[in-house]
Amino acid sequence: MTDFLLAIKSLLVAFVILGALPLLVANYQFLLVGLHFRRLHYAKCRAYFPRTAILIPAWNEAAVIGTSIDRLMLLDYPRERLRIYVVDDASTDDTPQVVLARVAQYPGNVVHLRRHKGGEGKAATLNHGLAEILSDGWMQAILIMDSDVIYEPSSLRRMTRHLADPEVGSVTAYIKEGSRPGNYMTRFIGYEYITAQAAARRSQEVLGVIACLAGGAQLHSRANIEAIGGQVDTATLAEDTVTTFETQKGGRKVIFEPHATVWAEEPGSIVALWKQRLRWARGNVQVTRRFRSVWFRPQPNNRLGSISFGLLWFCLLLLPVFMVLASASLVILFFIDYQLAWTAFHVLWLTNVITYIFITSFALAIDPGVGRHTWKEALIFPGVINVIILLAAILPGPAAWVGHELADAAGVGVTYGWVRGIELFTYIWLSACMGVAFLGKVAESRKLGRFLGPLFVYIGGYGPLLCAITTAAYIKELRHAEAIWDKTEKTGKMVVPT
Amino acid sequence: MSGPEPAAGGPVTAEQVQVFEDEVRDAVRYERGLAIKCVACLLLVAVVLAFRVYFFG
Repeated sequence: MTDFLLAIKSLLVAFVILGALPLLVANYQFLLVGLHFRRLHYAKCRAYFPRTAILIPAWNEAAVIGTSIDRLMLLDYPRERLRIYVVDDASTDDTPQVVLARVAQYPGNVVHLRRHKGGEGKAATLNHGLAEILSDGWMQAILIMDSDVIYEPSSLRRMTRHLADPEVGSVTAYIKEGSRPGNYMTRFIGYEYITAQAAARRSQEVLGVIACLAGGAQLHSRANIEAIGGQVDTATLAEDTVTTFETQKGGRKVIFEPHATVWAEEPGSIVALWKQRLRWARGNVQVTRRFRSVWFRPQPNNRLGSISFGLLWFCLLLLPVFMVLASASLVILFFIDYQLAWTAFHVLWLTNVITYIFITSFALAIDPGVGRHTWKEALIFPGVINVIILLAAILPGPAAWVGHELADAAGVGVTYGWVRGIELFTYIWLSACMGVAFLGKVAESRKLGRFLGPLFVYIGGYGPLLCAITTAAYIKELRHAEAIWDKTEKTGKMVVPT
Repeated sequence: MSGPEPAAGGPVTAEQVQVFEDEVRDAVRYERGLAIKCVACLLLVAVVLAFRVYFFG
C-alpha cells in the first residue's frame, strides 16, 4: 500500500512539474530571439523587384477594401511591376462598386474578379484568384493578403528582397494590431502579437522552421506556388499553415521579415475574438493531424520534424491539458500529502515568476512602440488573480502582511483553515482561470455585458481565455463539428502611422 | 501553368540599392540590440530572484 501511494504521489508530482514544461519552452523560445541576429538572411538578399501579383479575397469588405487598395498603390515599389487582384466572393454589399472605382482609378494595376457563387470560404476564393493569376506568365511573385490589412510603404520591397535567394519559397511580415484608440481587447491582442509574431517567428527562424505564414501577409515565389500545386488547401481551416508546412516539406525556406510591417484590424470583443481564434485553433488541431507523420521525425531537407519545433508546437497546442493536469494533481496532493503539494507548487510558481518577468519585459523591449500602447495589458496578461499569486510568490512576507491586514479590516481572524483554504484555491485557480475567462464570453452578450465581459477577462486573464478557446477547439474537433469559415467582421477603424 | 521567367526582378537603380543597404544595416543593428535587451531582461530576472532569496529565503 505504501509503495502504491508513493507511486501515486510521484506521478502527481511529475504532472505538476510537467505543467512547468510549456513555461520552460516559452523561455527557451524567447532566449532564441536574442540569437536571431546570428541567423539573418540578408547576406543572400539584394534589391529585388519581381512582378508581384497581390491577391485579396473579399466578401462584403466595402468598409475596408478601398483604403487597402489605396494604400497598396502607395507602396514604394515599381508601379509597372504591381497588380492587385481582388477576388470578390459574391459580395452583397458595395464591394464590387468600390473595387471597380479603383480599377478605373488605377488602370492596369487593379483587377476585379467576381465569383457569382460564393460562400465556399477563403481558401476557395483564393484558389479562384490563383487559377487566374497563374494562367499567364506575368506573375513572378504573389502576395496573398487580407482585405483589411494595410501595408507600410516599404513593407513589400523588404519582403521581395528575400526572394532573390532561389532557395526561399515564402516570406512573411510582422502584422501589428492597428485599431486606434482601440479598447482593452485590441490592446491585449497588440501585446499578444509581439509575443506570437515578433518574438515567436524570430525564434522559429533561429530553429530554421516557421510554423505559419501570417494569413494577411504571405509572399510566395511563383516556383513555390506551382510546387505546392498552384492552389491552397481547402480541407482545413488553416490554409496558411498548410501552405507553410508544404513549402518547407518541399525543402524551400520560409523567411520572417520582422522589419516589413503591416497593420490589421483585430477583434474588439470577446465574442469576435472567440470566433476568430476558434477557427485558428481548430485549424491547428487539423494541421497537427494532417502532418502526423512529420512530428519529432527529423528530415534532411527541413526542420519541421525537429525536437525543438515539436516541443514549441505541442506545448502551445496542449497548454490547457498541461494546466488542468497540474491543477488537478495539486488538488489531489493537497489532500494526501499537503507538504509535498506545497513544495511542488513552489517549483511550478518559481518557473512561472521567471517566465512572467523575462517574457513580459523582453516582449515590451522587442517592440517598444507597441509596448508603450499595451504595457498595462502586458502586465495583467495572465489575469489579475494570477498576477497577485505571482507577486505573493516574489514577496511572501509583504503578501502575508497584506493578507492579515485585510482580514483584520474585515473582522475575520486568520486561522489555519483560512490559510489552507487560500492554498487550495490557488491550486484550483491554475485551471479555473480558464473557466472564469470563458464566463467573459458568456456575459458579454447579456445584460451588463459591456462591464462584466472585460471584468471576467481581467480577472481570469487573456492568456487563460486563449486556452479556453483551444479547449473549445478540441471539443469541436472531437465532435467533428462542421468546419465553417466564420469571417471576422472588419469596420475600417485602423489608424496607421504614415 | 507556365513557368517563371528566368530573369526576375527587373532593373534596379543605384538609389534602390542604397536604400536596400541602409535598411539592412539598420535591421542588423536592431537585431543585435535585441541580444543586448535579452541579456538585460535576464539580469532583471536574476535581480528579482536574488532579492527574493536574500530577503525571504
